[in-house]
Amino acid sequence: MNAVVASNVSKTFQGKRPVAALTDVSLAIQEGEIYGLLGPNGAGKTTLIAILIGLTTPDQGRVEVCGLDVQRHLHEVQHQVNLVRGFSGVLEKFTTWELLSYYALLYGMPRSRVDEVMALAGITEKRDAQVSLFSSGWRQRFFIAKGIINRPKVLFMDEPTVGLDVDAARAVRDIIRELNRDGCTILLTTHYMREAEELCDRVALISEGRIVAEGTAAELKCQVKSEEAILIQGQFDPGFRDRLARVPGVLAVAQDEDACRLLVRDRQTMKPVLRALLNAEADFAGIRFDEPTLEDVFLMLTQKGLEVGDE
Amino acid sequence: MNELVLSCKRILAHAYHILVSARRDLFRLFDVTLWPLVLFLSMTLFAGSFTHDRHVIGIIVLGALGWRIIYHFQMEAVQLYMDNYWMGMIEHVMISPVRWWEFILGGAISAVGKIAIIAALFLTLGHFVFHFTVNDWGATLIGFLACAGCGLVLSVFSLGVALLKRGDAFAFIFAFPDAVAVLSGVFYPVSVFPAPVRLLAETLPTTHAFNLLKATLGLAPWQPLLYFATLAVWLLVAVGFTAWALRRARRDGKLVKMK
Repeated sequence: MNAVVASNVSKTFQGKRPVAALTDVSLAIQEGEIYGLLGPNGAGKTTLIAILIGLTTPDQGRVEVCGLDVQRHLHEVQHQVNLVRGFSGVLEKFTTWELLSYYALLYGMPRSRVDEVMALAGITEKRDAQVSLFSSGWRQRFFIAKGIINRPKVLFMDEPTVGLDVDAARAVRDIIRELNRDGCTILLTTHYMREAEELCDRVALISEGRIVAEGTAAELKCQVKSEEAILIQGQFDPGFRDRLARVPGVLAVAQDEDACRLLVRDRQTMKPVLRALLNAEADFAGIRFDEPTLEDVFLMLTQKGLEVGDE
Repeated sequence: MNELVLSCKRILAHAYHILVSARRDLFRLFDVTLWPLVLFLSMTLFAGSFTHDRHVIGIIVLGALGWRIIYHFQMEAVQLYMDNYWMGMIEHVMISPVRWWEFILGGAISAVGKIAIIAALFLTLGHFVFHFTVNDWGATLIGFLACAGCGLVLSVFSLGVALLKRGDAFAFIFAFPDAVAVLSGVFYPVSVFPAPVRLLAETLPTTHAFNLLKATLGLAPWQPLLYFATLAVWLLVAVGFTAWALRRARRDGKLVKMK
């Protein structure tokens, strides 16, 4: 059975300059699944989540959560879902216990549930500490505790590991797995491809408000099987990346924090790429072939990397 | 669990939220101590330096208290909404099964607590410094309840403005009860206004609520029907406006802070 269904959802935010946030988006998430929604900032991930949980309404299309039409049965849906956001602010002056007690009351849960979720999220030791003073890792654990306070059937997680260090992100991913093992359906948005590959049963790639591909990570990576990826260690300015993109055989170029990733037609393209690097006397630490990743699928389908745009 | 019980829990949740905020914030503590005292003492000491007429002192004590009642019943719920909005947590509240009127009732519970403190301050000081005593506790309580009703209607309207205008709404919301109180003849009859302003003042339930308080001192006629009639009209308009504002805010994505 499907836990979440979106059918032909479109949304444009009106204003001085109307912004088409989503165009004809359809997806279906099965019960018990971890479903990833991947795309760069500004792709429409947050808007889609906002529509699925009833924070905003679609201009067109229909959404169902737990078999209920979200617009018609919003109140019933709200009892069955919750949200974890990776960049939420937090009320000042409140301790963990006080703020979780507030949410427990909002959902009609007993106070004993507060102790349970603190234990599940591993924040019992922070019971009387002010949440606003937490590091980002602890804060994210707090939001996970808040997100499960009502035992949601579907948990929406919007960039839950954004800005976390490696250990904190790993701890959050462990909690996500545990929640899913307990039967919670999870829709996870991220722009970290490895995280999506590691956690998600299925993923959808979203770009400029449209879903451009959907499937398991393996299925999606099959789409770039015939191509290769070249990884160049170093940072390159947009002008040089444009030059690389014009090298014969290069299909797409994206810059990560410390490496530039080229999707190329075949292994023979390494030569002209090296030539371009040497001719330009580019400063790079290394160059090698790499396994295709979801990012390459995204690159191939959209000609864009995952770090573009602002929301 | 029964929906009525769940609704009561959500109302209590809001009251609890406001209580925790007030307990930790000196500025909010001033809301029930320093600011009302500044208003009360400046008015009573000024008037007391000219006259010891019990009507003058009485109208200041009851008027100032009625004004604070309107302010707190209007402000508490909207402040709660704005706090969550400013701190980037509004979406976490608005995805819960909360209904807009539960904000208003949660705010009302908190307002009752704050008003109890302010009333104790005003009536004690009024009694010991100016020998003021309430003539008729029943009628005076009805006057205070009338002010509370006005505050709730203003709160409904203000919440609608906050839903639509978010952070930009606060200046308006903060000034709104004071502007209404001044227009409603808090310490004076509305007959002092020019005719068009007087006409406007007569349509405000606050004018008739203050008149109920003045009536306990024999300074205005006792006309509860006028109060209820104007309150009912304003309540209908405010409820309609806020229900529309919520639909509009939801449509425009104003219940969530985008990155």
